[in-house]
Amino acid sequence: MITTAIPVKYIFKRLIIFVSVFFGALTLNFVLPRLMPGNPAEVIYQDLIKASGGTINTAYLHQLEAEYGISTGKPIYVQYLIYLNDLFHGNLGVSISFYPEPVSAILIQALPWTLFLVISAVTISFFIGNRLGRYAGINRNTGKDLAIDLFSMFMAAFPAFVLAFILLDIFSVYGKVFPIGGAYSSSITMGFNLPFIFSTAYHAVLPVATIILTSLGGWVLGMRNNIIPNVNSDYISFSRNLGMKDYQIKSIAYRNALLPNLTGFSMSIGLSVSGVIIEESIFSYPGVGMYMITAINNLDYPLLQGIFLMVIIAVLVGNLIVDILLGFLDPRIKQEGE
Amino acid sequence: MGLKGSKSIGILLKIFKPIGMLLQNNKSKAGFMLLLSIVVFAIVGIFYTPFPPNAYLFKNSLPPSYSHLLGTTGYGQDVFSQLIGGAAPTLMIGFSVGILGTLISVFVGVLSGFASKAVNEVINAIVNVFLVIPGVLLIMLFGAYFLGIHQNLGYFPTILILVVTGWAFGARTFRSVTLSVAKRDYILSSILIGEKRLSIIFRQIIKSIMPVIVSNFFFTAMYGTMGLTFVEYLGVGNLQQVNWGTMLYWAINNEAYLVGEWWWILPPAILISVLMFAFILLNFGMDEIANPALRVFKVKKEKVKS
Amino acid sequence: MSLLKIENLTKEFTVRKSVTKGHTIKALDNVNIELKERELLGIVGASGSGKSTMARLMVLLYRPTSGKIIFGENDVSKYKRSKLKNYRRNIQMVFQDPYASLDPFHNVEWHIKRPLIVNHYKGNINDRIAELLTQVKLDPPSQFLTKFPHQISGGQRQRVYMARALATEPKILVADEPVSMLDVSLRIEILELLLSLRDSLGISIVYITHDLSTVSMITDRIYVLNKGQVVESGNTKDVIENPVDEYTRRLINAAPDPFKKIEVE
Repeated sequence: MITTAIPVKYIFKRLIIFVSVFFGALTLNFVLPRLMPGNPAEVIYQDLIKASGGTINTAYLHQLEAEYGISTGKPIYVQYLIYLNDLFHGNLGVSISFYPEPVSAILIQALPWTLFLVISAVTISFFIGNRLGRYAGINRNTGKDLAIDLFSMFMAAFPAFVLAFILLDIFSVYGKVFPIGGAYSSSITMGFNLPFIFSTAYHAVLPVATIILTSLGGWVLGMRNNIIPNVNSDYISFSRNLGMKDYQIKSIAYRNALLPNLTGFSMSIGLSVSGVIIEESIFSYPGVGMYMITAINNLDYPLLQGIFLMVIIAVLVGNLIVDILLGFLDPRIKQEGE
Repeated sequence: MGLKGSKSIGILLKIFKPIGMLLQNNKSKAGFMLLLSIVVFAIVGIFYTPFPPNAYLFKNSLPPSYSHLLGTTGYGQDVFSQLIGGAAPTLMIGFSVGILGTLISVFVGVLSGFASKAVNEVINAIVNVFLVIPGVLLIMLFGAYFLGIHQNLGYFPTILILVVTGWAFGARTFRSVTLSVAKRDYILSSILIGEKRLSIIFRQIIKSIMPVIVSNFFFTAMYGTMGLTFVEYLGVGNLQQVNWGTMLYWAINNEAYLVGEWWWILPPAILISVLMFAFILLNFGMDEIANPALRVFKVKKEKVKS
Repeated sequence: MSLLKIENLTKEFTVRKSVTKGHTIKALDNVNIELKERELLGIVGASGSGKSTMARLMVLLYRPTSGKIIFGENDVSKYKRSKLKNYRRNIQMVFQDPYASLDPFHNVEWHIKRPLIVNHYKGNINDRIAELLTQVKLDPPSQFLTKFPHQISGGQRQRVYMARALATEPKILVADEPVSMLDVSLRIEILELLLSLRDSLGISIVYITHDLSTVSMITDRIYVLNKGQVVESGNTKDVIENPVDEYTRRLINAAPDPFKKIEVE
C-alpha cells in the first residue's frame, strides 16, 4: 500500500542525521591536522621537503601556518570559526601538487565525473542485481540458484581495482574494444552534443562495469534471502489457492522483498564511491580518485581535505535523497514512530 | 590425568565446537576448506621461503621458470617467495581486523540493545556516521596525516584504521538481534529472578547470538583483507613490508598489467580474491545457519517425546 | 489478610498508525484485585481481556499508567533497583510457553542454580537444587540436572521453570496460562502441582487463564476480566453456579464439557 502522506517526522530525523554527519566530517577534518604531534604546519612542511626534494620555498610554511591559524596564536575555537567561515565561502585552500590552482577549481572539474560513474553504477547494479536475486530466490536450491549465488559472492569478494586492471587488459590493451583511459575522446569538444555523449558513454563502459560487477553481489544475495521467506509464506500459498497466476504471485513476492532490500542503498553508495575512487587511476579517469592518488603521493593536504569534504557531502546528499524517496515508498518506515 | 585432563578436553571441545557448526552448511564448509589451505600455505611461509622475499637478488622481470616458479618482479625479487612469505601478514591483518572489529561491534551493538532511549540515539548517530562515510576516504585522510609517524609501528596503524572504518555495520546488526533476543521469555525470566544486566549479556545473550557473531567475524575479516589492499594501493601503508597488498601496489604502480608481466600481478590478485571468497562463503554459510528461514540443510535435532 | 492489592490500576499502550497519528488502547481500566495469603486466585478472561498485561504488571515487567500495586503495606509500582529486586524475590511469574521460558543454551541445573546464587542462598546449593526439583515432582533430581531444555518434555519443562521460580522463595506465584501449551493429559498434573505447592509451601498463587473448566478445579476465588475491566468476582463456586454478568455466562457456556452437545437454536 503506497500512501502519499508526507512522513514529516521521518524526513526531519534524516535531516538531523545529515547535519550531524556533516558537522562530524567537518570537525574531523579540522581536528586531524591538529592531532599530529608538534606544529602541524612544520610537520607537513618537513614532509613536503622530503617528498619534493627541497623544491618548496619557505613562504609556503608561513602560508600553511596561517591556514592552520597557528602563527596567529588564536584560541582553538576562533581557529574553528575561521575554518568554517572559509569553507562556507568555498575557500578550500590552494593545491600543492597543482600549485597555484585552488582546490575548489580542481574539485569542480573532477567531482562531476566521479558522480557520473557512481550514479550510473549504483542504478544499473540495483536493477540487474535485484532481478538476478529474484531469479535465484524463486529457483532456490537449483543449479541456477547456486551458480548465481557463487558468482555474486565471488564478485563481491573481488577488489574493484583488481577487476579494473583485468578488464582493462582484456578489453583495452589486448582486445582494443574500449579506450585505455580518459573520460571522452580528446578530438571531441565538450558540450551537449551527440558525439560527446556517445564518447562519454563509451569511455565509461569499463569503469562502470567494474563497479556493477563488484557491487552486484550485495543486491543479489539480499534479494534472494528476502524473497525466499516471501515465496514460502502463507499469503503466497493462499493466493495460489485462490487461483492467482504464477507470474502475478512472483511479482507480489518480489515487491514485498524489494522494500527491505532498499535499506541497503546507503551501504551500496558508500561501497561504490570507494570502488570508483580506487579504480579511477587505473582507467586514467579524470575524477577525484585520480587526483587523490596524486595528492597522497605529493602529500597535498589541502587537496586531500577538499576531496574528503566534497565526496562526503555528495554521499550525504545522495543518501538523503534515497532516504526521503524510501520514506514515501515504504509503509513500514512511516510506522517506525519511536 | 584425572580432573585436570578432562577440564582441558572440555576447553578444547568448546574451542572446536564452532568449527563443527561451520561444517553443517555446504557454503561454509567450502569456505572453511579454502581458508584452511591458505592458512597452511601461510604457516609454511613463516618457516620457509625459497629466497628472501624482499631481496633484490635476480634479473628484473623474469618470466616463470623452474628456478623461479612465478618469475621475478620488476625489481628482481622472487615472486613466489613474496607470495608465500606475504601470506601470513595478509591473514594476520584479516583476522585481527575481524576479531577487533567484531569485539567493538558486539560491545556497541549489545550495549545499545540494552541502553536507555537517549543513549541509544547517540550510539545510533555515531554508527550512522561511520556507515555513511566511505571507508576509503577515512583511510586516505588518516593514512596521509599519519604517514610520517606510523612507518615504524609495523602493521598496527593499518589494523587500527581498518577497525575504525569497519566496525559500524556489525554494530547495527548486533543491535537488532539483541533487541529481538532481549524480548524472549527466558531473558525476562532472568530479569525476574534478579540477574544483573551484565550477567544476562555475558551468560545468555552472547551465547544466543553466537552464530551472528561468527558470521560477522568473517564479514569483518573480509573487509579487513579488502581494506588492506586499499591501504596499500593508496600508498598510505608501509610499502617496505611484504604482503599481498603491497605486492599488488608495486605491480600496479609499475603497470605490470600493461606490459604483460602477468606473473607479477595475477598471483597476489588471485590469492587475495580466493581469501576474500573464503571469508564471504563462511559469512553466508553462517547466516544460513543462524537464519532458519534460509536453512537448506537440516540440523540434527534430538527428538523428544512428551 | 491481604498480601497483594491492586488499586484502581490502569494501563494504556500507545499504538502508532503513522508518524503523526497514534492512539492509546486501554489494556486495563481501573481494575481492583485483592490477593489473600495462602489463596489460589483465578483471573479469567478471553484473549484481549488484559489478563496477560495483568500478570506482567504484577511482576513489574510493565509499569502501570496509573493506580497502585500494594504489597504488604507499600506501593511498589514505582520501585527501582534494589527495592525492585527485593520485591521480585517475593513474586515470581510462570510463563505460558515452557518452550520459550528456558534458555536453550543452559541445562536444568543452571536454571535453578542462578536464582540461588543471585539471591545469595546461604545453605548448600546442590542440596537445595535437589529439594526444589523434588518439590516440583521431578524425581529423582539427579536424572534431570544435566539435561538441556530440548531434551525434556513440555510438562517437565514447566516443572523445571516452577522450580526456578520457587528458588527465590517467593510468597506469590503468578502463573500466566501455565498449561495452555501442554497436552491435555498433562494439564491436570501441573494443576495438582500448583495446589500442592500452595498447601506445602503456604504461598499464594494467581492462576491466569481463559479456560473456566480448569479454574473451577483449583481456585478459591476468581475475577472475570472483560475488555480491561473486572466484570465479576467472588467465590469460584458462586460465580460459576450463578453468574451475574452476561459475559461470564457466555464464558461458562463456551467452556468444554464432555457431556454437553452444542445446540443450534
